[in-house]
Amino acid sequence: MRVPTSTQVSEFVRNSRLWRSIFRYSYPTDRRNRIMTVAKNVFLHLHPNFVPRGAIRVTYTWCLGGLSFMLFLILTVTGVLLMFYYVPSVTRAYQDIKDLETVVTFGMLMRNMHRWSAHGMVITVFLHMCRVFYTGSYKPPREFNWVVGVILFVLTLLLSFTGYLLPWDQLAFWAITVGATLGGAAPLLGPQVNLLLLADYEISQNTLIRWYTLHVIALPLVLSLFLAVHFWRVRQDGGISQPL
Amino acid sequence: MAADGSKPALISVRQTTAESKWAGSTCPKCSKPIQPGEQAVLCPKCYTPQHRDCWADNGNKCAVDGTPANVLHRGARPAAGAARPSTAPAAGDGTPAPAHVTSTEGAAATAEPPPVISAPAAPAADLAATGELSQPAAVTASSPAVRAEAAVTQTTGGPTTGGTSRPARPPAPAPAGGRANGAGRPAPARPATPAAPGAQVSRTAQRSAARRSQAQLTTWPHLLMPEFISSVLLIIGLTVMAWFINAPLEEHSNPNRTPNPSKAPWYFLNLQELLLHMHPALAGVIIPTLAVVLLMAIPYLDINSDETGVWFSGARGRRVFWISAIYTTVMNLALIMIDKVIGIRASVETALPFLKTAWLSEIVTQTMVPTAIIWAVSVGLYLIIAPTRPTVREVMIAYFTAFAVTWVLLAIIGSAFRGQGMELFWPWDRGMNRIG
Repeated sequence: MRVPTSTQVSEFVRNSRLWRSIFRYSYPTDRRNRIMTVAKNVFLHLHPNFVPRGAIRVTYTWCLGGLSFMLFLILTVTGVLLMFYYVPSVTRAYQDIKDLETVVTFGMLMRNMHRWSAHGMVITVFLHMCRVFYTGSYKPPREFNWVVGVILFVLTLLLSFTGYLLPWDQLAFWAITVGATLGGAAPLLGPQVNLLLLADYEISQNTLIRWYTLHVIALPLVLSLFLAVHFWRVRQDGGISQPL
Repeated sequence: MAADGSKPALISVRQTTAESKWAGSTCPKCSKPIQPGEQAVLCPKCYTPQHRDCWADNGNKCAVDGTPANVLHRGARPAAGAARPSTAPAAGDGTPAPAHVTSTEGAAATAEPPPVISAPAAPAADLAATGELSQPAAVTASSPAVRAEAAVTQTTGGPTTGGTSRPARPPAPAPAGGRANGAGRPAPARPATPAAPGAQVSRTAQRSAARRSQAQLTTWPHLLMPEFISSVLLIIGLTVMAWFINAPLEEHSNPNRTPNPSKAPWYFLNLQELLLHMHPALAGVIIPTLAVVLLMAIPYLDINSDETGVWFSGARGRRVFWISAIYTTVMNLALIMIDKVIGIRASVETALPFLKTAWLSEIVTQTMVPTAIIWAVSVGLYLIIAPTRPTVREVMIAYFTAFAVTWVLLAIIGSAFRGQGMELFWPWDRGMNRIG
């Protein structure tokens, strides 16, 4: 019996019903397939089919928006993995983090990646804001997308801040004490804001579960919503900005 | 799809019926409603319905945005579908219809071509009639028609739209190189001057014309590859960092043992730094809220889009950036040192002893004086750049830079230079010797 060559196997696979049901277009080496692959793929169709040469220079965008989004994805994946092992209870939280670091396979790596990505995202989002500002990319017709971007920046800070409490160590506890004191200094509404932030008169189990819920579900959902608007508006308002 | 000019070169006549979407809409040329039974055309750019005769009267141009297009002489199509006669079957009809390739912005010859481009008119018609111009054909064709058309493409609104004033951009390397982004979205139609036929092409139209004269690259791979590479580098870098540097974890939280110093996360240390110098409400709530609101307001104050897409909007803006960055750094450091050495609160209370009443002193020293200082420093920044007669954009650059530099600088000071009791230390001092 003749052994099929790799080309034959590859041909057979790529002509099979299964393969063709998944991939409608062949590998995009020609113009048509390049267009169709981008236009017909749910992930890629965020992009336009064509981009102006001047707008995608790396020294223009520095990939900062994309890197911020990538960090958000990394944070989501590592965050989900951490959630498997972490219980937001004042009696267990700290020990769960310890176990993550010592017992869970790759737990330390996951936690480290989550932590550094969180810091990284604050940095890249801020730099992205600076890039957009200094290239004048907020100007009409992109005004509203700039506003959405500022909201995303605030949400990024809030996400990072809510995650700060979860390890339940001294660093977390006192950083949140300082932060909540800052918020509690609001004129007129100070005590109410403080109560809203802590869900108690001091940092307690109520605070932990509140911040945990905000951190793992509420704020990510809100952020995703604004991300969707942000991306959509980039396309709607004329793509990546460029000189007139 | 035609590689050059994805928009139709020709528009077809439509018979208006009672069911037509455009039935009853107002024709921008004659300002009368388009009645069922009348022939109508849709502008290929803004899709505004108008009378077929009004279109012709207007010099075969749209009465809204001046987009030229020639009416295809064939049986009127009652269909309410999209007007996309992209393959031009004009020749097949046997009618001597003027059939010219119009560019996306529609700067091509008209039915009665002006003298400038009258010569190549006929060959252009031939080309269009053959249907889709493949890209290589359009690039390499030596036909004078194609070259003429390419040249006309560069000057939007060229001879046919009453000579608008947009300066021609330098010729794009390949005007035919796939200006096909029209496939995705129609150009934003903003009929700014509805009843002004022959008026200047709108700014939006000029803008998109300029944009489209640029080389367009396929997203795959020209955009996706940089995205992919930067993502991979990010993941590799992050993994390496996470492998070698552990996230901090201190001992179990203990409400009864306050660490000294107690610090917020680093990105809030700038606010915590402000807290050292002014009232908590000002530092923790009012100033950050104001900063966010002002950030959001920027694009509604600075609305000149001409400067979009250029770093710092040019050399002047870059200069303003540096002036503001240096000014802000010096001012921040000076204010921190002044508050440390002299002490605002103490000096005010010394100067005005009657303020010793606790609540009055707090209002003056913790709220009013810091607010006044912030105002003074902000006005000072404007006064410094005022002699150069700054544009709105340059003022924005000055103040945004002041914000960004302060945000970063105070975070650095809070992270690295504040030690026990939030006193100033050199970062390498391990909290032993205060600065100053």
